[in-house]
Amino acid sequence: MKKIRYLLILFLVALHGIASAQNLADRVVEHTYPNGLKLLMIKRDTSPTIAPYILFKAGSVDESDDTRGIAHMLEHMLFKGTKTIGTKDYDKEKVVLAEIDRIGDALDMERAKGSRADADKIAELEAALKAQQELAKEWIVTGEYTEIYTQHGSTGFNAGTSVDYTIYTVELPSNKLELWAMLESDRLKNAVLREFYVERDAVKEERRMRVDTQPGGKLYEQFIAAAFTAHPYGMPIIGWPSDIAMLNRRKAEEFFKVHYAPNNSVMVIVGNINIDDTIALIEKYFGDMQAQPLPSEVTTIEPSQEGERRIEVEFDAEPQLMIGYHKPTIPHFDDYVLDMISAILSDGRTSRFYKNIVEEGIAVSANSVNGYPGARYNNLFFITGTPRSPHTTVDVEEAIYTELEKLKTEPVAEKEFKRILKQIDADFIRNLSSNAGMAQQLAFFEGIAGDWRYVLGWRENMYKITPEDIMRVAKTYFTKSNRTVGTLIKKEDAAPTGDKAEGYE
Amino acid sequence: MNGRISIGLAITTLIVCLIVSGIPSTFAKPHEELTFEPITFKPPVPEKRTLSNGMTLYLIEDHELPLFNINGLIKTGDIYDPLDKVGLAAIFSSVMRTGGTVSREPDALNEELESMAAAVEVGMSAEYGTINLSTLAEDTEKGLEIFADVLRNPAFREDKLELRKQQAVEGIRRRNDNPIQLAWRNFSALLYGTGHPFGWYSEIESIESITVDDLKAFHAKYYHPNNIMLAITGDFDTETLISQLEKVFEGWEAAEIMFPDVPTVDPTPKPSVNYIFKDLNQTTMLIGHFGIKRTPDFPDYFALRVMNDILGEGGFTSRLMREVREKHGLAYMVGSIMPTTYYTNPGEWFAYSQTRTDKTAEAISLIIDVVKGLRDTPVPEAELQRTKDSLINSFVFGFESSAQIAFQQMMLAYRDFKPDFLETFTANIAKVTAEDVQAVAQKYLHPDALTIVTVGNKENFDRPLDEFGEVNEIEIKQPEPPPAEPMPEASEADMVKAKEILAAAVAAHGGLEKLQAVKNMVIEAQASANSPQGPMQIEGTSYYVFPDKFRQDLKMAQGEMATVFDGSSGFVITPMGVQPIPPQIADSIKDAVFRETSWLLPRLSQNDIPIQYAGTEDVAGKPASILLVPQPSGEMLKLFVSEERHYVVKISYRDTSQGVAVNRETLMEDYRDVDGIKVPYHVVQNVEGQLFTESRVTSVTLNAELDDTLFQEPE
Repeated sequence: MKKIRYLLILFLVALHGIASAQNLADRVVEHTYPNGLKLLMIKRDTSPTIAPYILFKAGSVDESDDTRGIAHMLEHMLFKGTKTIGTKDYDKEKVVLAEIDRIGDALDMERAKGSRADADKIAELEAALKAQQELAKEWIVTGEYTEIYTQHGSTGFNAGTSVDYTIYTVELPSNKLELWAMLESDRLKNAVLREFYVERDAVKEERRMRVDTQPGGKLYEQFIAAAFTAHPYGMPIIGWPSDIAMLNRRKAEEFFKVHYAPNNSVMVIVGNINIDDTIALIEKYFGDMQAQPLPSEVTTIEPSQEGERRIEVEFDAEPQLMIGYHKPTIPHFDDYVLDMISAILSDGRTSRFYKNIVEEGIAVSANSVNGYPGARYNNLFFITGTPRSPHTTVDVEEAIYTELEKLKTEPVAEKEFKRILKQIDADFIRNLSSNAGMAQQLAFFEGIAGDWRYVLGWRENMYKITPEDIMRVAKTYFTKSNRTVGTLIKKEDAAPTGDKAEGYE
Repeated sequence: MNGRISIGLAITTLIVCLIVSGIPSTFAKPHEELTFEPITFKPPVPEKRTLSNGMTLYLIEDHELPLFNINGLIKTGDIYDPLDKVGLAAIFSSVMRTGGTVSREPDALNEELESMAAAVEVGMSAEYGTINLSTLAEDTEKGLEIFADVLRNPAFREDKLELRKQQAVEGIRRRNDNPIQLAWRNFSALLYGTGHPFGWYSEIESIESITVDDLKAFHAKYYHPNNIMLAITGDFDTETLISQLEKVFEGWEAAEIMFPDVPTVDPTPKPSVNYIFKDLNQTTMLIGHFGIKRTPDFPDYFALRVMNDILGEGGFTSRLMREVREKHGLAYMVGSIMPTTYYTNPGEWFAYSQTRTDKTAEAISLIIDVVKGLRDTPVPEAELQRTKDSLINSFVFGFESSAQIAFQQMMLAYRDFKPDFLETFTANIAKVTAEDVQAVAQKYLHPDALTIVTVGNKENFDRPLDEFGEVNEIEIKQPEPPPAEPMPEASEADMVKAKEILAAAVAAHGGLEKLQAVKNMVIEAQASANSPQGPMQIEGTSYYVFPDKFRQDLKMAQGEMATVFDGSSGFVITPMGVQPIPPQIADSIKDAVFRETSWLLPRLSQNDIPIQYAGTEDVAGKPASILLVPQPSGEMLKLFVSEERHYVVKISYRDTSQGVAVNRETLMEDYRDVDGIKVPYHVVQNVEGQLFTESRVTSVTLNAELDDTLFQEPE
């Protein structure tokens, strides 16, 4: 009797999930234009708002050694306007822009000489650049492109660059859809990457803020560089300081031309729209863009790791720990199993890391993520831990390995699976409650997995996972020789000098 | 068409308000030719209801998705933290959830919620507390029952409080890692001083003083139905829900709440320029002064919204962003913030930037110039119009989901905003003039009275900061646990009596001569330890080489571990490798060796260590005399000597090696003779009154031949 009831419960849970996944499948409308542009739409009439997103399958992984950082730099530059926006007279402006490029190139080349650089020449070029930038101000309307969006009530107007892709996001009142189509198509067809060197300085500040002054950022950069020796996944998205220093408008335009093709992008519009009108509107503004040959994928394959790699970063901060294991990316079945493992380890207060590491007082946090830093290529199962003093990163590392070992030898209980599957199905429903969240998710799966329906198949695969799969996968990937370990160590010698007043710690 | 048209949304009134702005443009740009269909949108209006116990509800039925949500507000906040227990409200809110309820153990509560993909979370802000429920609609009934249980019957279990305190202490230890956090803490401490809760930060000491009783008292004070508002949205039927709520809250009565007085702030500006050294290539700067305390009738609100957007809250298009980032490339993150909702205190206004070290002074000057510009010159009409349009056009994003709408209504009521605030918002923004903006800039921005905090390395600054005022250099120290409690004053009689009791104990344990002959001891034992996974069996061997060497080898199911201490430093050997022992642990090992009775007793009777008698107490039902003894770390040790047989039957002490103070005690019985001295064979250790380990000794060897390598680091 008991068993029958149990089965019935399982069946109901599964049915519920299918219904929510089906709900999603029914609501997504697809349209592919002759130029290869893919448009996905979900009509949601909860409020008169829309979330139109565009994703380009162009991330830092698509850069080369002399353009490292350009995907991110270009993302910044695409907010600088077009031939009609951000300028008072583009024909006059472009003459000055060309001059700025010429001087900027010369300046970069001279500075790159380092200690052998000619200081006088640098000063001279800096002055010349400044003079041209002053001249350009006569024609440039700083910030006009963003102003238009802001004035029309945008929220979440932004963009993001990852190793795999670049995404442009905004939410607008629903009557501004055509404005969006006009502005976005204008920047794709007529972008002018003006004010390049000033923005490059802002990007340098971004790097200082995210990496140089952040213990976690600094550790991650070194960790990921150690984990990947051949594949570009090991390189920082923002670029190394010396990479950023050599970026210029020519490189950005070239990257733009090669990668920002309609057939290399996904457009998602979620919200209060009329489907047919939207298809026609997008045709009107984006239909004349030409499909072009797609850039080649990265062919370098990270060679299998032949031994544990350990790195340390010294910083004026308390210790932190990062661990990564190489593993295959989607749609390999083991990737689904590792998603399940990640949920078992660190989703919620019933998770193993929380119960056995955080509640034990060994760490203030311990988390896992499957699929770092990207999903287009084989990636890492990534674990982070923050020890609680007097416990050290060694204690946390040991506690993490204890949990990974258990996965290899002890079958996961039915109860844990059921809880995670129920969470997955609930998330399907919850995700539908946000236009922006849905737009992000659909764009990602269509762009990176090649089909937004991946998310439906993902759910089915999660249901197929058995306790034996977990043990097999844990044994396959969680080995010493397959891991990279990074620790942040407190730098003790960083002490202030001089007379000090009483302070607040 | 020579101008831009944008359509504003008038929420709830269905009237579309048309804003035509006449921005001069040299030529028409394509987007200026667009026209926009007016939007008519009547967002759902939450239904306000009151339960019989006085709890206020804001309800919106929303059947789009099978979900059910509650966002609850409790009138309380960090603002009521007492000075000696700063951090109480935050720790309370966290343990209210993690500590389980009277009838639900924490693990059971977590399991129950997560197995139905539901969540109950408790939070705390400066001026309110929160409690939320999120569940699938099918689990509404169960979710409500758990939600009410957490709200009404939190158990605040001791071990969860202890864990949370340890985490808070770790947070304090890590609070100087991040330059923004470091700058912010010092900025608000400088601004509010020591007289106001907004200038207070928890210290290890204030965290340590928080007890289960404090949490229970906090709950008893503020958590009453008449002090709680709930915004409820999702797939439910209102009348059914009301009766469910009446049921889960049955018997919970309204009560009068006495809110403590919140100290008032002396609003006199105290400008200062402050520098904190951190060896980074970028300076984090905060520049500001006191902000505003809102009152229900707050006429400047709309002009301030516009002014703040223009200055630094309007994202990419605000002046600080434009000047500092877009025109000068001096920052990635730059802007300003002026909270306009605080009702207990004036809050603050501040501008922030993170700028390369060698442009620090340039960035500060630029920010100050932008602030001055808003005071000195009226905002150009185009910029004003753009900002007003932006506020009006984006107003609809306050109404994207029913949860957001209900929460917003509840929050406005909580903060005493006028009932027609939302209906009149767009019209009131539209009315703001350039003169209004300049007037509020002059009234609320004071570039001559700034508190400036910089975190960075001044060696590389472009100019010394003293051009902005005399520079106060703030030294940051790594926080440490509070000092040991001093020994109480003792009378001559107490010290004499202590000596007598000690002499009796020495005799009972085997006599001075025999005890003094003990140079080392090797104790083997089987222990059972309490762990969350149930009892854990440990086999251990401890080596004491007096006066100060120590080694302990442990065998557990998870593997073997050794702790080694050579008198000054030590290390731990695990399957992972060898790891040095941190200094605070080394101190606690020194104390542990000191506490070993067979060595402690003769030492106390020979040395000048001051001991004193402190009354009697029953141990295991029999009277014992208490002796107070200072340990090497300075922490006080209590020795309990049985009156009947003069054995040391218990010791108790405070342990701060884990960052927080923990009370430990060791109970010793089953004394047996080993080569003429008495050694306990049954030892129980309690931590904070809870059983931690129980050991049975299997063998004791005195003066064993020990290999020196025992205390050496393995190759």
